[in-house]
Amino acid sequence: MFIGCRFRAQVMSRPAPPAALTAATRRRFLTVTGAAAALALSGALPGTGPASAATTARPADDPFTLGVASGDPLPDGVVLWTRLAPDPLAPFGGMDQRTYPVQWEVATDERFRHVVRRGTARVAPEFSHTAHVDVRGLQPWREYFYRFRSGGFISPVGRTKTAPAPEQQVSRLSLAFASCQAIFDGWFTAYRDLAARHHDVVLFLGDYIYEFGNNKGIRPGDADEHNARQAVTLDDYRLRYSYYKLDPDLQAAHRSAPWIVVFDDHEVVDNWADLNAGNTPTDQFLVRRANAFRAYWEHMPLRAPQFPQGPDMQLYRRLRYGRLAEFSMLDTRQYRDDQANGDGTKPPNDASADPARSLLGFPQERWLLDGLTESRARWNVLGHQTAITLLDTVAGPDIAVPMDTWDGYSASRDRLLGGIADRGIQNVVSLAGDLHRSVVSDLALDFHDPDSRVVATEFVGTSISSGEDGQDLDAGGQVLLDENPHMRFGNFQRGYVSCEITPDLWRSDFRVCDRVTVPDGTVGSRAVLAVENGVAAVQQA
Amino acid sequence: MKKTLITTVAVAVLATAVAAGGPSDEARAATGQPRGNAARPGVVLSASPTSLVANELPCLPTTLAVTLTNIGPEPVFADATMAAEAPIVLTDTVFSTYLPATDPDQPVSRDVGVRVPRGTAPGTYDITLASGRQRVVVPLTVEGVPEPGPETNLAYGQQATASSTHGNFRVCGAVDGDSDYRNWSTRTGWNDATRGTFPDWLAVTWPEPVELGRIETVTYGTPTRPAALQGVKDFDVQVRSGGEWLTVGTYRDNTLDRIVTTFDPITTDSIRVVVHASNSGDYSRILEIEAFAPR
Repeated sequence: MFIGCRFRAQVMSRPAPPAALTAATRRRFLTVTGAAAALALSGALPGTGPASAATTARPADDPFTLGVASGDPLPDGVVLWTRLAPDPLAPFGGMDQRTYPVQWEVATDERFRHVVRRGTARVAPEFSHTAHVDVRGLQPWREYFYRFRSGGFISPVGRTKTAPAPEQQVSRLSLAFASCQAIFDGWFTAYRDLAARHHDVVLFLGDYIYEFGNNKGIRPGDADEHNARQAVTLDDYRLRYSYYKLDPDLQAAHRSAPWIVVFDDHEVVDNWADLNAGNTPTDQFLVRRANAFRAYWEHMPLRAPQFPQGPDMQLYRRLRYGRLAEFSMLDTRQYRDDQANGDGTKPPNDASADPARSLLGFPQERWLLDGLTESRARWNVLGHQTAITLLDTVAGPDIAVPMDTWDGYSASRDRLLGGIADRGIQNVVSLAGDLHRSVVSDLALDFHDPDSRVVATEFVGTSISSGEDGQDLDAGGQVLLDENPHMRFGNFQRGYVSCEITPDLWRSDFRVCDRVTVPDGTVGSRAVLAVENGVAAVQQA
Repeated sequence: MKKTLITTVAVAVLATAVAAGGPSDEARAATGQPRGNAARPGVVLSASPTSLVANELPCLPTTLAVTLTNIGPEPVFADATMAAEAPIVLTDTVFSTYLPATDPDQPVSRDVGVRVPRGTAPGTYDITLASGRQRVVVPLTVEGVPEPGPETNLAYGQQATASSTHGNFRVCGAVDGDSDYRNWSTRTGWNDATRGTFPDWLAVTWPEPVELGRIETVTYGTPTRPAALQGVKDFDVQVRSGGEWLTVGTYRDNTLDRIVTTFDPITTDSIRVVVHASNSGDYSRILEIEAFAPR
């Protein structure tokens, strides 16, 4: 399964997108959706450039219907995101084919009395009129407020926070992580709670949109054929992001904190693996992948290095939070071998254990272990898509495990956990989603040996909405607890995880919703589990 | 013959694309890759079929495939826009996609649904596609709905609705005239969206009342996995009369794939199948619902 080598090689050697593309702005064709990332990123420069029609263009209606966002904090900067879309479900968001100036400002106070940075970004139709302003020159580990202006319209105010300085000792970090928000399965009630808690940073671990829809009658938009059908084209995926990002709770969650995002499968198509997606011919799938990646980048607060080149995208990356934490954000989709034995749930088999197969691809595996080895952080966080832990899903002596999680690539898991043990890497915490259930596990070198050494800790968070209401413990969850003694907690409701991290202790608060199929559900704490510095085994807090 | 027509259109618009300088100039600037010595870059817009015929039956899919093909040396993203003369409605008015630069060329298409609102006068209506300076006009001929014969399926193409519809299916698939189980996976049937939850219902509604004497319900089954394993199990067939639903057939523990319900002639504007259980316990699956005048 190495037909993907050409694309892997491109990812590893790809140069950064060019910084100056002024020629591209002079000539504009209606037909061209363009490929100039840096154009939209030039908002980092406060200058407005030569006068042109673009500098005076202004939308006729409030264009900030999809809210604002910030992301990928650095010690001196953060990405600010918005999109001009006065009619977000119309073609091109209700915008014409001109480039528009968008003013932005960053202040230390919510009323913008102390503005510390401001500038103008040009937002172009080729990128759905999205801004990705890479603000620099900010102070480390500091709260800021930001907003945009276009024509006479001012955006909602977003709160963000820079990362600590590289060697900074940080006494406390509040972090939330979330995943899997099938809009047709429920309301994003969990985000109301998340937004109110003003975290320092939010990790989103995949399935921000679903490429398909279902008319279950839960939300008013369910019956619209555009929301229910498979997204394949670029306009399909753009429309899907518009539909999701109209949700007020999701917008509030973005306004509350900077996000660090990775995709999983549904941002493209269910269970895709590198060049493989069901029976779709590879050349057709790569067109779909390029369309999906383009729309993803446009709608996420990501920097230029993450800008996709056709069907390739450098998603995996590392973000440091002083001496307290380091986040290795992984990509377990783009380089993985195809799922073993036809996917699904199977007994562990020769293919799922084949050391020649990889979930991350070998370059990313090396990048991960080397990064963990060099880390000077107390907590080494893996922010990724799906469970590393063994998940035996059948009662009794037989074993059957998902072929789509790390279980389907157990040699990758052995190399990671073995590498952590061999290199003496401490305080590794795996954060993931995908399962639509909360699963907390001790990650041991040998899951079948109860005395095996625990070398890392895993908190898999449940879905925001995927799977509808759920229940505290379903039959499948009981089997997981019975069959997997390394699993320490399970819950099958919807929600997210709110973490408080100090140098001595990591506390994970599992926040769950009573219902998500009605708009007025409530959110509470289901359980708090903790990890102590130097002790990988999970504890009840 | 059809193939020839498509080629003609493509060639006709190609000249404009090249004259316009080729839209991939911009993409090349972004990628920093040198201009090749090969053919001038360009994106070609085409449509298939090159003309359409439709009537106002609401559940009959009339689709137009809009295709963009990159014949240049570099990959590009491109847009096409689609517009129709009133009162014709298109499901999509924009098509944007990545277009790889491959040899041979790789066309990329999107299907656009063409809707003929009830009351549309018979005649010809233009559907105009545009990409850059290219224009392709597809004439749509709207015909009157033919008078039904004595053994005509009166549900064919009429408005279908359902309690819910799974994202991989279309509710109109249940009245598309295709009751062949082999086409199930190509969205020719209805599958509800609420796994394990019952009842589910599928209805057909007429704009003017019709007189019926027989309803045939076709549920999903294959030779290897018959309806006894995945078809509807417990269900009622109902006819709306005077605003009330009258049950004309009640079935329990069904194992057949085609269930024929006959009843005394009744004038109605809507029929429905209410499913209380399926043989697989998860979804309600109906390939086709057919309605006939009394014999």
